[in-house]
Amino acid sequence: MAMCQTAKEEVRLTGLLKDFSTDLRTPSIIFGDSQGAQLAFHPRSKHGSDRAQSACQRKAQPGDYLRHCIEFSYIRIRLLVLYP
Amino acid sequence: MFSEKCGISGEVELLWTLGIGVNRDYRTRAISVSPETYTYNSVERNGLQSANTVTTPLVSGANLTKDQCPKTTEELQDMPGNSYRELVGSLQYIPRPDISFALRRLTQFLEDPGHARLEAPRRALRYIKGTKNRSLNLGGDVADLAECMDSDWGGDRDDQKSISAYIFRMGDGAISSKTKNQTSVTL
Repeated sequence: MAMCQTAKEEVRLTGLLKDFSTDLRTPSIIFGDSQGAQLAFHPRSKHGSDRAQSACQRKAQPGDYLRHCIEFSYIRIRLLVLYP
Repeated sequence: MFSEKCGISGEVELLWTLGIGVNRDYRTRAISVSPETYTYNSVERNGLQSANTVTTPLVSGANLTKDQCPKTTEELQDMPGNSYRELVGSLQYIPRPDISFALRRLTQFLEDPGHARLEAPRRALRYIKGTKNRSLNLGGDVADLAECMDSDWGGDRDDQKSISAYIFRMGDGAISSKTKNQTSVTL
């Protein structure tokens, strides 16, 4: 959920800065240690089964928005492993 | 119109505003915001001139819960409400993203703080005192956006909800930060 909030703010800020003609390199990188975000992109994760269902049948999950942002190259996630 | 009404000329470069120093470096296209004077005034007002400094704004794993709120009539009458609110309020105006998590926790108890909790904002102020030379820098040459996020995984003992936070860096400076209670309980 925290990663999703960050992605939302990133998309908003990028749009604002582009309006100011700021030369930004995209996709920008989000650093975090969210294991849930890592699982969201695994083909056998709990979010994977949601993918098969239609959008009208299920409630949108934070992982869906993250996946959307990555597929459209808005963001890139770099996971930090703090406790190996 | 605004300048005429408020008596602001706008001809002189901004150097100070509300105890916060502003320094512009035209060569590197950067602005530095330094709350050193504001911090000095806050420390003096709260009598912490000779207090030891600390390295973190909150105690690691600080257990701030609603159980510590005053319950009996004597405790309610003896509650240090105004001094707590004054301390937390003075911390809110310091432009430092590194104390935003501590502030988020402290502002949850503005209504009924107990004596046990009065030490928490004083510790945050001691942290600020120890790091008063640090300033918030904006600008620089690099224009890449980088974000860092984290959450404390059920850190709120009252409702078991997590507090998530993020900070956005553009170039050398932090341009946006937020600390927020999550809306759902993390399993």
